Amino acid sequence: MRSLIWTELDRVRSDRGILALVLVHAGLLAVAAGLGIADARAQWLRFAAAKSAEQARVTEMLGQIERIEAGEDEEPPSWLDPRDPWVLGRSGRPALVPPPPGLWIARGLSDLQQRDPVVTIGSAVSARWVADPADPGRLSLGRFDVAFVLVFLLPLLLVASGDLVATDRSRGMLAALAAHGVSASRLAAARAFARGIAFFLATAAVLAIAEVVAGWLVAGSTDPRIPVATVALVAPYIAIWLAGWVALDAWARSPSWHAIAAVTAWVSAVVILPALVNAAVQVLAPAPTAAELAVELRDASEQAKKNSERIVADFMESHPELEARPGDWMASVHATTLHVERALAPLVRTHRAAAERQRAIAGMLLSFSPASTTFTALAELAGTGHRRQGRAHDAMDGLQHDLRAFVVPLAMSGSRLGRPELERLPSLRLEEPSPFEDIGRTILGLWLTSAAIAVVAWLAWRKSTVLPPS
Amino acid sequence: MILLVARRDLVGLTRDRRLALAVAILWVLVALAAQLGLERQARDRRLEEKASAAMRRQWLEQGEKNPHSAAHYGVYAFWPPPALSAFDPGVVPHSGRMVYLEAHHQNLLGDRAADDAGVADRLGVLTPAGVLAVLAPLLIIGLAFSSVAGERERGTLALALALGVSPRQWLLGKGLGLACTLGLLLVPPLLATLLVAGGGLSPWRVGALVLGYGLYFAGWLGLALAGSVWATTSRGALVGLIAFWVFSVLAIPRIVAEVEAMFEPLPTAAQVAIDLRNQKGGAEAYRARVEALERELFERHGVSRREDLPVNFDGLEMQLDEEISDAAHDRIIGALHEGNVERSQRRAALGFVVPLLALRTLSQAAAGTDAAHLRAFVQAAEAYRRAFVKKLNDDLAHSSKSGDWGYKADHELWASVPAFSFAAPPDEQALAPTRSALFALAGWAGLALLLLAGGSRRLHR
Repeated sequence: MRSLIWTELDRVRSDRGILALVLVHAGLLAVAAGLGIADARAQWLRFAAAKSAEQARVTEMLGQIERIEAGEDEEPPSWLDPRDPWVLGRSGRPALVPPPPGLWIARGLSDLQQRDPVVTIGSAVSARWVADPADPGRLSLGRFDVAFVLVFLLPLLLVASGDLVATDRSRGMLAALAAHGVSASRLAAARAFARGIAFFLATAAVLAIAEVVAGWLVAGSTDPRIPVATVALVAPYIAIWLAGWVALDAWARSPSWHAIAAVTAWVSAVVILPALVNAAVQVLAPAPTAAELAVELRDASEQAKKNSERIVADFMESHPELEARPGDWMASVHATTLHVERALAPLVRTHRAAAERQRAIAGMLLSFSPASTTFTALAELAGTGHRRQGRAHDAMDGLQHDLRAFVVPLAMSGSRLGRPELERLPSLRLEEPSPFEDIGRTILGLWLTSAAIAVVAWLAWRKSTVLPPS
Repeated sequence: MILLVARRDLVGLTRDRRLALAVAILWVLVALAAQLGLERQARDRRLEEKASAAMRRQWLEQGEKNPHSAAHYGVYAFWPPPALSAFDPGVVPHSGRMVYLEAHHQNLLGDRAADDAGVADRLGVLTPAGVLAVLAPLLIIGLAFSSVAGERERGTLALALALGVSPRQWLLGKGLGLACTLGLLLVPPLLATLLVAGGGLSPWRVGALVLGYGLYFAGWLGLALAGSVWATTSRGALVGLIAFWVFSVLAIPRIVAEVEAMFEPLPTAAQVAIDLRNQKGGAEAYRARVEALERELFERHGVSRREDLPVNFDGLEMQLDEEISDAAHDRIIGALHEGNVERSQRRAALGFVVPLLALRTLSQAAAGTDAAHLRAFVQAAEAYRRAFVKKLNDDLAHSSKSGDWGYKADHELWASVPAFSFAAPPDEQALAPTRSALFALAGWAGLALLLLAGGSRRLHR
C-alpha cells in the first residue's frame, strides 16, 4: 500500500491537470486570505481610531470642565454640563470590542455585529436592536473568506480532479492491474489519499504564508495557533470527502457517471443539506422578534411613568446609601428605567431562551452536515461566531453595570465630575473566550464521520463488481 | 428537420431516469421553500399587524401629557411583508423590520432577522427564488452538457451530419428540444410558487419575474449547449460548465461584496451620530438661528419678551430644531439608502457575465423586497415622523404660552395623528430597477447564444 501511495504521489506531481486544480485552490485561498487580511487590518485601524477618539473626548471633557471652573468658558445649560454625572451617564461610553483574532480566516457574524456601540445608563433592552448602517444587499451576498473556500470550493476542486479508477475501468486497465496484484480498491484509496495530500499541503502552505503576512500587516492582533487549528479542522473534512469519493468510485459505471455523481454529492452536501438544516431550524425554533418586546417595553415604561413617584420612593428606600435630592428628574428617570428593566426581565429571559433553543437545535442538526459543522467551527475558531459575540454582549452588560455604579452615586450625592473621576471612568472588560473550546470535539466528530464513510466505502468496494472474480 | 431533432431530444430526455430524479428533487425543494416562505410570511404579517395595532392602542391611550413628551414617546413603524416575500424575501432579513419614530432623531432600521440566525445561515437559506437561481442552472447543465459532446463521443453526430442535416439545423433542434424540456420542468414550479405566494398579484410584477427568470434560464441553456459544442468530451463540458457555475453563482457575487466593502466601507452607528451632529452645525450656529427666529417673532408681534408672545416659543424652537435635523438626516441617512439602491443597480449591470447579480436585483424588485422598496418604507416612515412631530410641536406652540411646561394635550390630539401605513410604490416606480437588470439578462442570454453560434462552426470539423 505504501509503495502504491508513493507511486500515486509521484503521479500527482507529474499530472498537470491535478496540479492546475491544486494551484487554483491555492490561488482562491490566497485571494480569500488577502481580502480577509485587508478587512482585519481595516477593522484594527478603525478600532484604534475609535479608541483614540474616545480618549480625545475624555480629554476634551476634562479641558472643558477646567475652563468652566476657571471661568474661561461660560456656564453651559444643565443638560450639556460636562461636570454633571447624569450627562456622562446619558452620553455613555463606547464598548470598544477588539476585532476577533482570526477575522481573516472566517468573517462569520462579524459584519452583523455593531461596532463600537455606545453603552449608556439608559435601557439596555432596546439598545440591542440598534445596528450599524448596512447595505443589506451586500450582506445577503455572503463573504468570500478562507472558510468559504475551504468548506465550499475545496471539495469541488478535489472531485473535479477526476475519477479515481472509473476511467481505468472503462479502458479495461483494472484487469491488467489486478493481474499484477494491484487491487482496485487499494488503488482508488491510494489515489484519493495522494490527491488529498496535495490539496492539504497547498492549504497548509497558503495559510502559513497568510499568517505571516497577517502578523506583519495586522501587528500583534493575530494568533498563529488559529491557522494551525484551521488546518487540523480541515484535515478530517478533506478525509470525509476522500472517503466519500472512494465509495462513489466503487459504484461508478463510467467517467461521466462518476462526474455527475460527484457533482450531485457536492451540491447535496454543501448547498442543499445546509439550506435544509437552516430551514428545519426555522420551523422547529423560529427566531424571536423584537416587535413583541417593543410593545411590552412601551407598556411597561408607560405604567412606570404613571407610578414614578412610588417607584422613586421604592428606589430610594432600597438604596439608603444614595442621597435623595428633591426634584432630581434624572434620578426619577433612572429609577423608572430600572423598574422597567425588572418588569421586562421575564420576557427578555423568554426571548433569550428562545434564541438559545434555536441555537441548540441548530447545533444538533448541524452535525448532520459536515459542511455546516466545519463552517461554524471555523467561525468559532476565528472568534466571529456566537461564543465571542455572547461574551461581547456580556461585557457590554458589565460596562453598563459599572457605568451605573459609577454615575448614580455621584449624581445622587450632587457631586461634580473632575479630573479624579474622569481618570477612573469604567471601560469595557471583555473576557476573551478560548477559540479552541470544543474544537477538539469537533475535529474528533469529523474524523469519526470520515471513518464511518470509509467503512461504507470499504463495504461498497467489497460488493463492487468492478472486476470479474478471479 | 429541426422539429425532428427537437422531438428526438425531448423524448430522450423525458425518458432519462436520472433527470427525472433531479427534477423531482428540484420540485420538492421549490415546494418546501415555498411552504417555508409562506409560513414565514404569515408569521411576519401576524406580528406586524399585532404590533401595529398594539402601538396604535398605546398611542391613543397614553393619557394626558405634554405634546413634546408624546413626541419622545413616539411610535414604532413595522415593515409589512409584501405578497411575494414568500417567493423572495430579498434584503429584508439583513435590513431590519422596524424603526422607532421619535422627536429629533431619524433612527436606523432595527430587528434584523439575520442577527438571530446562526453562522451556518450564511451558507444559504432555502427560498424559492434561491433554489431557482442557484440550483436550476445545475439542472440545465445536467440536461445539456452531453447533448453535443455525448453524441460526438458516441459517433452519432458524424452520422447525423453525414445524413445531410446542417449543423445549424441540428443545433437549433437540440436547443428547441432542451428549451421545451426546460419549459416543462421549470415553468410549472415557478408559476405554481408565484400563484401560491399571494393572491391579487400585479401582472406586471409576475411578468417581470417570468421574463427575468426566462432570460436567466435561456442564457444558461445557451451556455450549457455552447459548452457541450466547444468541449471535446462530455466530461470536459461538465467540468467547464460546473466551474463557470461555481464562479458566477457562488464565488464572484461574494467577491463583488468583498471588493465593495473594501472600497466603500459603511460608517458605524456611532460615526453616523457624529456626522449628524456635525451636519447640524455647532451650538453657536444653532443659537444664531434661534435668535433670528426670536427677533422675527418679536418684530411681528411687537413684543420684547418670549412670555408676551401669543405663541409658545419653545414649540416653535423645537420645530426649528426638527427642520435643522431633517436636513442633516436627508443628507446622511438619505445618502446611506441611496447608496444601497445605487450599489444594487451597479451589481445588476454585471449581469452580462454574472447573471445571478442581475437576477437578484430583478427578483427582489418585483417581489417588493429590494433596497429601493426598503428606501420607500424608510422615507414613508420618516415623512410620517416629521408630520406627527410637527403636529405635536404646532399644538404646543399654539395651545400654550412660552414657559408653560405644565400644558398637557389629551386623546383628541393623539387621535388626530393618523396611524402609520405603508403602501408599496406603484408598479411603474417599483419595477424601474428591473429595466437595467432585464437588459443585463438579455445581454447574458445574447452572449450565450453568440457563443453557441460560434460553436456551430466547430461541428463541421
